[in-house]
Amino acid sequence: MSDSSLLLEPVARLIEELGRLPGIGPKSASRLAFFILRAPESKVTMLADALLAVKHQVRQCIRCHYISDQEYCAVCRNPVRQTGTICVVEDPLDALAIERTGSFKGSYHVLHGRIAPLEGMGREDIFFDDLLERIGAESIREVIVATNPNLEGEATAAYLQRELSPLGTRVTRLARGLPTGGDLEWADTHTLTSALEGRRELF
Amino acid sequence: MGERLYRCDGIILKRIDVGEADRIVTILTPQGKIIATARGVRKTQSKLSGHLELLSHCQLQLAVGKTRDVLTQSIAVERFAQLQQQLVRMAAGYYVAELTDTLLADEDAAAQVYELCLVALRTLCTSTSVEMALHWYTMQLCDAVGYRPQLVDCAVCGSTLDQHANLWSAVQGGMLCPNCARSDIQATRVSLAVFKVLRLVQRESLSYVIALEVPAEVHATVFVILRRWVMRHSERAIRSAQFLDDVRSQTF
Repeated sequence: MSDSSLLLEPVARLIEELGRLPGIGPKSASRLAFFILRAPESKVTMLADALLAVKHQVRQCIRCHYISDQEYCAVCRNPVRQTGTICVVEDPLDALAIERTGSFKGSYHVLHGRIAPLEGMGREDIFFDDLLERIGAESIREVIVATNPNLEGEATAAYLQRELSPLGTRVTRLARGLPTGGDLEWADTHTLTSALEGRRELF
Repeated sequence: MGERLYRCDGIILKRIDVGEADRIVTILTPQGKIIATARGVRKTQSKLSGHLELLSHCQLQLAVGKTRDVLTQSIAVERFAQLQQQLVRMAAGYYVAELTDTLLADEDAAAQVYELCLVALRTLCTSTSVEMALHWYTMQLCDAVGYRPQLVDCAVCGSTLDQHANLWSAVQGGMLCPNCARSDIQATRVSLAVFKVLRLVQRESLSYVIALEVPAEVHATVFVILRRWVMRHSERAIRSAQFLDDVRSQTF
């Protein structure tokens, strides 16, 4: 007997849909599907509602492309935030990570990707031109490039820098160095070099 | 029980994110291409991550796994830092990585390609002619993996080519002599300079060709010819080519 006839059609469909999620393989998908099958209806309704709610209620901020429930996101709506500084990040989760530090008072710009030539991702695949427009429209003094510290992130940063510097805006990059709680012995030469280059006075 | 751990040298060609913080890494080693899992490397505190940047030359230790081998240690020997400091070099690095990954299929040519790749990357870090280095690498790579175009004798009749040869035919596999022009009506007409560059990058060392001064339009034609040649044989588009074009057009 084949798999699809052993599994009823709704179950097979659920497994297939769950299997489309990132990081979920066929085995995990089956396990999740059977968990849902056993769970009380109220729980499943809550899950289904939550799934639909994110699609229906959440959209992108028209200014910075961070997730929002209104036209502008909470950061862009906040009158206390400084307007002259933009922090450019790859993903909404990166903006969230920076927001958690509480040390940044400007606004964000979420690219929703990075320039990754090996994956065929170029400037037209991310919110790059929007950023240029924003810089033209708002009086931006500084753009902090907070893309990931890997080759793709560096490529994106270098590209941004090249496009932005003619506009007269100050372009800065997040510092690179040693992580808190790390061991110097295990640090790679690249990170150590950056840490040395970016050293500063103790107090 | 066989040996569970092994060591090798390698160049990182490709990385794909999987799961929470893992990556699947494609490594070019003198023994062949290895596709291995690197666990937890996307975390800031990972001991491996800084040693597994794209195109860095590393000493690796791997553990034999069920489906894929697992990276257990890595030390970057050369990290080609200059590649990261200039957009054109960075784009060239991506191009080298993609070409190598696309064209190298079996183990036979790996040792040779590994050496070529190191030479090319070292030169890309310092050279002023990124184009020439890329032409050379593309040509040598094609040669090593068995896609050597005919540039000495006519690709159709085998007669020795001279300065009158001006047709490039990817379909026939190289340059054509004037008598064989009709064998491929879609052959590209190329200038003598382009023909010479193609021959030089096939025959000479990188240090020799890098010193040559070549006009920009010759570079552009050689680029197109070699790129189509690679695509014809790999049957795949070169995705980093667009980025390279984009970056080059504004720099030179």
